[in-house]
Amino acid sequence: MKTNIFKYSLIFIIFTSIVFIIACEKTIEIDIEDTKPKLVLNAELNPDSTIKVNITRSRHILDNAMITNVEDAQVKIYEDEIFIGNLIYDKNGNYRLNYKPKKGKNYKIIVEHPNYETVKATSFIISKIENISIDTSSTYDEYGNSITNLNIKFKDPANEKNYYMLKLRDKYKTEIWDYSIIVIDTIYTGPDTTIVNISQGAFTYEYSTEVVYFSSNDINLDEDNYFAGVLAISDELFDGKEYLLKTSFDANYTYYSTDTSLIYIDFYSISQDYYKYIKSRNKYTYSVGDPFSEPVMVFTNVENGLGILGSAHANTDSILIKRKNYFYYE
Amino acid sequence: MKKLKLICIIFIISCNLGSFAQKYTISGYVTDKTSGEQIYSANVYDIRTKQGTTSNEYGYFSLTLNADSVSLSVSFVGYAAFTSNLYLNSDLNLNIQLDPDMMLAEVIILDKKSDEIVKSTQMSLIEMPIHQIKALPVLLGEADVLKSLQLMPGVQSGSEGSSGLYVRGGGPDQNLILLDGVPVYNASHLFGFFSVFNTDAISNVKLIKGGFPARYGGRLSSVLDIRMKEGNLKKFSGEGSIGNISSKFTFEGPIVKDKASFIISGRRTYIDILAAPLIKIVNDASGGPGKFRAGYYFYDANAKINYKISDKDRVYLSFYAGKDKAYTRSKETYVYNDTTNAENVNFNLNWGNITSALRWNHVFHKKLFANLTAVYSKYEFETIQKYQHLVGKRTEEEYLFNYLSGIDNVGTNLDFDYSPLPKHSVKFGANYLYHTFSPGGTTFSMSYDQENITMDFSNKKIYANEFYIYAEDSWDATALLKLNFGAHYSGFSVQKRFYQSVQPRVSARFLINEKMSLKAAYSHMSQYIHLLTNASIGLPTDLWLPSTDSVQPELSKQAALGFVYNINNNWDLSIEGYYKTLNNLIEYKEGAGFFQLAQNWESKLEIGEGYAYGSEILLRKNYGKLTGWLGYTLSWSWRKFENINFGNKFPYKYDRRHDVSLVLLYEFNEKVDMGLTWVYGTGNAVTLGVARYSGLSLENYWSYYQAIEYFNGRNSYRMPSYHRLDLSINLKKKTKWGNQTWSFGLYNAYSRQNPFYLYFGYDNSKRVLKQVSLFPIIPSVRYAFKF
Repeated sequence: MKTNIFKYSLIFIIFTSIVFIIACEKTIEIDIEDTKPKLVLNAELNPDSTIKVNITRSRHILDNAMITNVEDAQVKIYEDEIFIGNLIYDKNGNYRLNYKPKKGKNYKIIVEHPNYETVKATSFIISKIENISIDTSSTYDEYGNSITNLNIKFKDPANEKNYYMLKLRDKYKTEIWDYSIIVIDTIYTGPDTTIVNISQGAFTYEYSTEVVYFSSNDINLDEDNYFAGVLAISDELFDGKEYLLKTSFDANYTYYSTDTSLIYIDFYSISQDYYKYIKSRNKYTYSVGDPFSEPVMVFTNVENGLGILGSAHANTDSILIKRKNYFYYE
Repeated sequence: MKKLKLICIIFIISCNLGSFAQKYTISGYVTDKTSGEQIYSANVYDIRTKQGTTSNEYGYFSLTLNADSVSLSVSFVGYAAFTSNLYLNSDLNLNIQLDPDMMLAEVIILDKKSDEIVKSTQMSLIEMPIHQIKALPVLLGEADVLKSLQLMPGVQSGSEGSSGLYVRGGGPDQNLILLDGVPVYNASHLFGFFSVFNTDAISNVKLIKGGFPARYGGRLSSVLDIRMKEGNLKKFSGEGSIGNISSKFTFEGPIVKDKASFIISGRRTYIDILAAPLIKIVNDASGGPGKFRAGYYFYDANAKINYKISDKDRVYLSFYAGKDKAYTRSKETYVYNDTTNAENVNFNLNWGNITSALRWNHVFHKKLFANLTAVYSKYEFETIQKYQHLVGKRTEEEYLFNYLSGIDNVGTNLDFDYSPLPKHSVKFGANYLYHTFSPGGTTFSMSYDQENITMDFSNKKIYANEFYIYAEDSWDATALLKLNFGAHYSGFSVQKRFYQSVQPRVSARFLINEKMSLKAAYSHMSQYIHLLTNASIGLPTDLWLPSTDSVQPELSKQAALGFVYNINNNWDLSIEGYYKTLNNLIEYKEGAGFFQLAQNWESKLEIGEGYAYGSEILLRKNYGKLTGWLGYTLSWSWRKFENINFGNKFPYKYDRRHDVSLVLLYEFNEKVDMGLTWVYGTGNAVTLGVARYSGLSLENYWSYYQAIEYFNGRNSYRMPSYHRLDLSINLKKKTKWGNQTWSFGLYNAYSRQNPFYLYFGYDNSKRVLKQVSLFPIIPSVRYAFKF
């Protein structure tokens, strides 16, 4: 809060002062070199779920149109260089294959489309770590607000680079008053949103997920490690050691959820590329629109295209915490 | 240390290579005839043997020659040369007064100065006479040392209007800026639009871009040595001016004639005064009981006194203070429960430098001149924010927020000039500085209902010791080859950590003939303090910080090669090429900005390297009705950081492929002169998105809605090129009491819309790239007087 007052006052004073000596300000259009749209591949491979790859197209920076899905691409997947199948287009830009990736294997995805350059990405499915303990405890902070501490203790494998991801999601059921929705029974599993649409006359129930904000005093973490619900951390500072990751969040406060909702806690081992992607993306999100900071380039490992092929391996089953009875949603 | 030993041995041997003929020493001071001021870097030499030296910072020279007929010549740009034929058969103390009236003996001055450019070992040197700086057309008529230097090849400006210097691909923090030998840490006023140096109080400006002599150190890219005037020893005089945004006044004179003198100079801007009526209109229009005031001003003051105790001893005390202040105040009153309530909100932003030096010159021996200096300098940046709620006269609520950062230095220098033999001129000395870094202290206090809470979030102060020792010899090795070689050894201790570096410095000049010479130089430099900056504008939040365990000292190596051709007495041409490497440079991590700086600054940094190379051509006309120069720089400057741009090299933000400057000053007669400058530069390198794409759904609020911008590399887009024409005309008049000058200027005469920054915006819902320009054509007027 204090920093914000300081920040905005400073920006205000700098700009007003500059304006005093600026006689005028004018904007001019400049042509930017045309860049051809590229295929964008986004996927998280996970041994606990079937393969799903999202394919969209990039837009020229001056093209204000919506980003659209590519529905007619050919998406092939290889396991240790052996072709295992073509992914079939489903919807929302997603291509699926009823196959679960296996740990210790290399996966290569090739996407072809007549209008775009062929893109390629690879990822290796890492093993999960053993002997991990996750515990939660409720307490109150100095102002009397309820907080939940989440402690994750694990032993980092020595002499190799390891990366971890912590995700906190709030799953809840909402009523959607949308008469146009046609009843579809779909159950998707996997790390992305689990949506269960159940037809009930005029409206539908939807299970949706929402981010749970959490914070940490861990000195190894700064704002580019976590931003709104996803934390990525590398073992750079604790290679081969036992590590206790301490975070906390408010299990009561939520904007959307009801007392029926559950908080899902998932802790994964992830690939290096995925780590780089999450970290740079967090930084990107944190700084976008700030004229005083250097732009952040989001990591990509897709050859000739954009996006990320990451892999994640859940170290334990999801930990569930029930929301308390507070209900802020009006 | 081995290097140091080797250099010492070479030095001792070379000192003994002189001939064994009888030798005598001519020594003394070179001063200005009308003011008694000492002249720095005047050329003193024997025309017959071509042996010579230059006067030091205090006007002192010592020249040892064989017993013989001597044809002594003493010259300095802007002065009539002194020549004397004498037979040297004993040591001679000779104080020489040069006549500053150029018109008197124009021809004599000319070849001597041009000659010096050809003969000196120092390359990559820019000297600019103050009268030339004052005659150039500038923004808002405010003559500016740093902006004038930006017109020279190898020195670039940053963004529009900024007074930062980017020398040979280096950053603005890599310049050692010395005011009377005291380091200045933030040399800009008004967010970089003006520099802190008041040209009326300055006597000499010298910028070294490469081939650094051993006596300088501590920054990677350049040394800017600015000397304050000393004060007229003969008579009282004053000068001043009134301009668009500022006024200044300088007064100087003898305290005891020919013995002691003083100079005092002040300058203040009045943007706040000019803006006050506008703010009043806004307040009146709003009709409410609230009052809002805002303003900005800066001032600076220079003062110096000196006392000539004897021919062998002289003391100086010099002082500079400058401050920028920006503020807003608002007051709101209302009546509640029959009591008057008032809410006051004040916001202040203050920053400024103080430098002071106490100096003692002593001539131990005609061949040994010593200078002992004690220096103090300070840079401080402060914001104060205060909220107060008054009920009647009682304070109901009060919040105070205060942020303070800065750097403090106390130190001492001891420098010797020693001329042991005819062909050698030696300088050696030592320097010590004690730094106190205050990397941001925040205090917050609150009182409510007579309860008080005060919190202090200050970063701990960091204390550091920095020192160096140096020795250099300027040696006439043969009739054609002259060398300046030496070593600079420096150390820095901070938080139980000690860094040191031995830096070789060599410059050589080879005379091809009387008119042409080849020069070469090689030097190492190190820099123990770092500037954390968001360099696009000269923000006062710039934070100076020491090297620490994780942030190591910056290092540079530079090799340069040059050719100087004195075409005729009027024209000279110099061509130089350089290659420079930079190590341990710091940059903000991607996405980190100065607002997140206060804590853990070391973790916000990336460490990387850079390299720069290029060539510079300068064609200069020094005398006559038309003077000026044409400069061209072709350069590259790269950076490479492991965690920026995915480890690939990228162009430095101010990488400028082509940089041209044309400067013409034409004197029609004694009453009218005109100035013209035209600059052209390749556009700055910026990072711009070229595409948008969707990201992987991370089940976050933002991951659903946010499209990611794709950048095809850091600084991979070039802004449109920059060019600008400035014009000025000076109308001078002699009056009964002195001189007066009316100066009229046009900045950006053809109103080129130069890019300041680019952003994506919308034009009738169509997405476009927009460019913001700062200054269109800006006229200026200034009235100056001198008596």
